[in-house]
Amino acid sequence: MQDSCATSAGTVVQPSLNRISQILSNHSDQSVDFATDTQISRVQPGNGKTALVVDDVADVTEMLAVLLSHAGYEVVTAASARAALDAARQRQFDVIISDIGMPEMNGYQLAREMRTLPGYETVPMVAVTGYSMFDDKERSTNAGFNAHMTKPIKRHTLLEVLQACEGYRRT
Amino acid sequence: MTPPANGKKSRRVTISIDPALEELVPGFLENRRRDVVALAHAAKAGDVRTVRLLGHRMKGDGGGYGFQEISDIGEALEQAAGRQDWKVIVQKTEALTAFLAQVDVVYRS
Repeated sequence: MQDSCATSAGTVVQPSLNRISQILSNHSDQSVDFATDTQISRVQPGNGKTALVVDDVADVTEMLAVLLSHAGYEVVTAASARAALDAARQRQFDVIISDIGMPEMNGYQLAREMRTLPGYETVPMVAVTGYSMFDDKERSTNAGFNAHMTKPIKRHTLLEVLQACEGYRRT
Repeated sequence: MTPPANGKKSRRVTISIDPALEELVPGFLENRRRDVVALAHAAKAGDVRTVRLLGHRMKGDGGGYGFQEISDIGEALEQAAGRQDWKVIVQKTEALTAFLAQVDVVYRS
């Protein structure tokens, strides 16, 4: 495991990977990967923060919305990448959780466009996917996501990932 | 409870679900009952694309709600759709039907 890494912009950062390793070891049944060009601090998730959940399947957005609401987040759901971008232009979210395999505009495209919006350059973004064809963590990272999770999403894993993501700021 | 007409005892399956999801679970299971109907129509029409899509969604959603068996059936449907293995598709559709008929949900942290 690296102690430091060079970002695409050439900046050398010191990632705090102990917390990530702990999450991974506690959830060996759940695939989670983090971008390594990030810094992590331990803060309780939720606490009135706002989350944008993006998925074209209502069963998924509803489930994530309920779980995140119970964890203290104010949640807005979007059924498409376009709807998510519209929502993000209207208000500032503290974290974004998005499916990858969506029709018309996929999660990678969403992440790239989201990163160009004012105020979203460093907001934590978590990719979730069930498609093996989209199970490309490096591609998620390159698109702008901070973490990549494979469905089915377990409540505790999601909350621990968000907890780790609080304070994330991509360089 | 009235015994089944074939005289066999109905096997019940009890699943513990996160209480936070209590409000959503009946709708989730109802959607899977709709999936059974859609799968039957797809099988009749030879519509492998619909089978793959529904299987994929079940695979992704089931375990998140706490129904790992639905995820497993969904994965098998998705794979069978890729092979156009209609025998397995019908078997897994029947397995989903049986599971939905047998499942009892308890909400427990």
